[in-house]
Amino acid sequence: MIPAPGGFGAGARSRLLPASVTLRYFGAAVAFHVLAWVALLASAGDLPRFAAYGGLGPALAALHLTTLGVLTMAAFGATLQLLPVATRQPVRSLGTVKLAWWLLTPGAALFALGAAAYRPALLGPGAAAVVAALALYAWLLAENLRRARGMHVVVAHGWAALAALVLLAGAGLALVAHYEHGLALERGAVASAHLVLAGYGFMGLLALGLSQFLVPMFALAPAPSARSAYVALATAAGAIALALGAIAAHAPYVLAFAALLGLGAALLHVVSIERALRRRLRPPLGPAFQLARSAWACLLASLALAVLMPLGWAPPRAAALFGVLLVVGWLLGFLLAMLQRIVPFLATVHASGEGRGAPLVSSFTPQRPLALHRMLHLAALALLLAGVAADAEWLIRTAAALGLAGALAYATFFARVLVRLHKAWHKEKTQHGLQSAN
Amino acid sequence: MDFNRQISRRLHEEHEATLALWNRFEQAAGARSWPPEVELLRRCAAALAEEVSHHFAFEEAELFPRMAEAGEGDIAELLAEEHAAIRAAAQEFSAALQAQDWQRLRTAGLELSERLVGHVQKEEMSLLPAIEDLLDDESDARLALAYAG
Repeated sequence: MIPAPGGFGAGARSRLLPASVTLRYFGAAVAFHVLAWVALLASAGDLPRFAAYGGLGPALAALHLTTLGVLTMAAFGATLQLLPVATRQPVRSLGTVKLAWWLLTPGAALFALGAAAYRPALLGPGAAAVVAALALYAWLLAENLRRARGMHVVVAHGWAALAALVLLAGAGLALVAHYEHGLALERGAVASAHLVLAGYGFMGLLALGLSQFLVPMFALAPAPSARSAYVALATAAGAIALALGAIAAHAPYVLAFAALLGLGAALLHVVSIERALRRRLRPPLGPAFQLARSAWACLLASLALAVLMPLGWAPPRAAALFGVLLVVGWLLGFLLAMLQRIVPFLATVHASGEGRGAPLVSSFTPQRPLALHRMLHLAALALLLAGVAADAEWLIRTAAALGLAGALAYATFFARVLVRLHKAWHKEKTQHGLQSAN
Repeated sequence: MDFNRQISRRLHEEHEATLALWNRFEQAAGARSWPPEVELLRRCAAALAEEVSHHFAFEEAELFPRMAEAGEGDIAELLAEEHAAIRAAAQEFSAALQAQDWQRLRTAGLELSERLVGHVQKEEMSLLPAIEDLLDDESDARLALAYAG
C-alpha cells in the first residue's frame, strides 16, 4: 500500500517550524554578520587594545554583533529547528520561539549601538532584552532535551551548553551592571569567565553536540564514536569548570592546565569527526567542509594559544590573536559552513508539499556567492591574524573590508535562496489556482 | 550510526550500495567519454527497479505506517513524497535509456542521483534510528524475513 501524500496527517510536519520562523533567525544572523564586519572596519585600530584591556567602543560592538547577532541568533534558529528532528520531539511553543526573536534582534542591536556609541545607558535595556530572549530559549531547549528520545550524545551536549548559557548570562549582566551602575567587581576576571562560558561553553559545546548530528547527515557518514564524544564532552566540561576556578583564584598555571585539557577535548572531537568522515558513504564532501576544516584548525590553535598565554609564553598581542581564532576562525567559520548546508536543505523541504517531492537541493544552492564568500572569509581571517600579529592597522582594515565583502556575498546567497523559495510557493499557488478553476 | 536491528542493517546496506553505484554514474556523467559502458547503465536501471519495487514498497507498506502510529507521521509523509518524486525521475531515466537519448539520460541520471542521495540522507538520519526504537526483536525478525522473501 502506498500511503497517499498527506495520509499521515496526524502531526504532519509537526517538527518542522514554519519557514518564516526559522528563516527570520537566519536572516537576522546574515544581516548582523554584515554589520559586525562594518563595526570591525570602524574599529580596526582599536582591536589589539580592546582585546588586551576591554572597555566600550566599536570593537566591543563588533564582538557582540558577532556573538549575539550572528552566533546566538543562528544557534537559536538551528537548534530550535534541528533538535526536534534529532530528539524526535516537537518544539514546545511556537509563540515563544517567535517572541525570543523579537527580543533578541532589537536587544543585540541596542547593545551593539550602546557599545559603539560609548553610551552605557543603552547597554542595560539591550542586555535585558537579550537575557529575556536567552531565558525563553533556555526554557525551549530544556523542554526539548527533557523529553528527548534518541540521540543521547547530542542531548548530553545540549544540557552542558544550557548550563554554560545560564552562567554566561549571569556574568554578562554583572558586566553591564558594572558599566551602567558602577557595580564593584573584578571586571577582567568576570569578562574572562564570560568569554570562556560563551566561546567554549555555550557556543562551543553546542557546536560540538550538533556536529554529532549535522556532520554525519551532510557528509553521509556514520556518527562519530559515542564513547569519544562523551569523553570529549566530559573533558571539555571539566576544562571549562577548571578554567573558571583558575580565573577566580588568579591561578595562571591551573588556567594553562585547563586550556590544555580543553585542547585535548577539542583534539579528540576533531579526530573523531575526521574518522567518521573517512568512512563516509559518498566521496564528495562539498566546499562547505573546507570552511569547517579551517574552523576546526582555528579551534585547536585558539586552545594552544590559551595554554601559552597564562604562562607568559605567548607572542605579543596574543589576546587579540586568541579572540580572532576563537570567534572569527572557529565559531563564525563553523557556523557559516553549516548554515550554507542547512538553509538550502530546509528551503527545499519547505518548498515541497501537496504530494510533490522536494526540489533538488542543488537548485537552491547558488554556488557563486558561496565560493566568493569562502575565499573572502578565509582571506579576511588570514589577514586579520597577520594584521594583529604585526600590529598593522592597515592590514586589519583590509581584512575587515574583505570580511565585509564576504558577508555581502553570503547575504546574496541567502537572498537568492529566499527568492527561489518564494518562486516555488508562487508556482504552487498558481497551479492550485488553475486546478481550482478547472 | 551502528544499527542493531536486522531490518535497519539491511536497509542501510542497500543505501550504501545505492550511493556507491550512483556515485559511479555521477563520475561517468562528468567524464568526457559519455555515454559510459552499457553495463553500468544496465546496473543502474536494474538497481533502480529493485529500489523502487522492493525497497520503497516495503518501507511504504511496513515501516511508514508504524512510524505514523508512533507519532512520526511527519517524517513518513516527507519520505513518501520523495518516493513519488524518485519514481517519476526513475521513469524518465528508463525512458531515456530505452530511447538511447544520451544527453537526456545524463540529465535524468544526475537528477535521480541527487534525489537518491538526499533521500538516503534523510532515511539514515530519521527513518533508521526511529525503526531501531520502534521495533522489538520479534517484529524485527518477522520484517526481516518478509523483506528477504
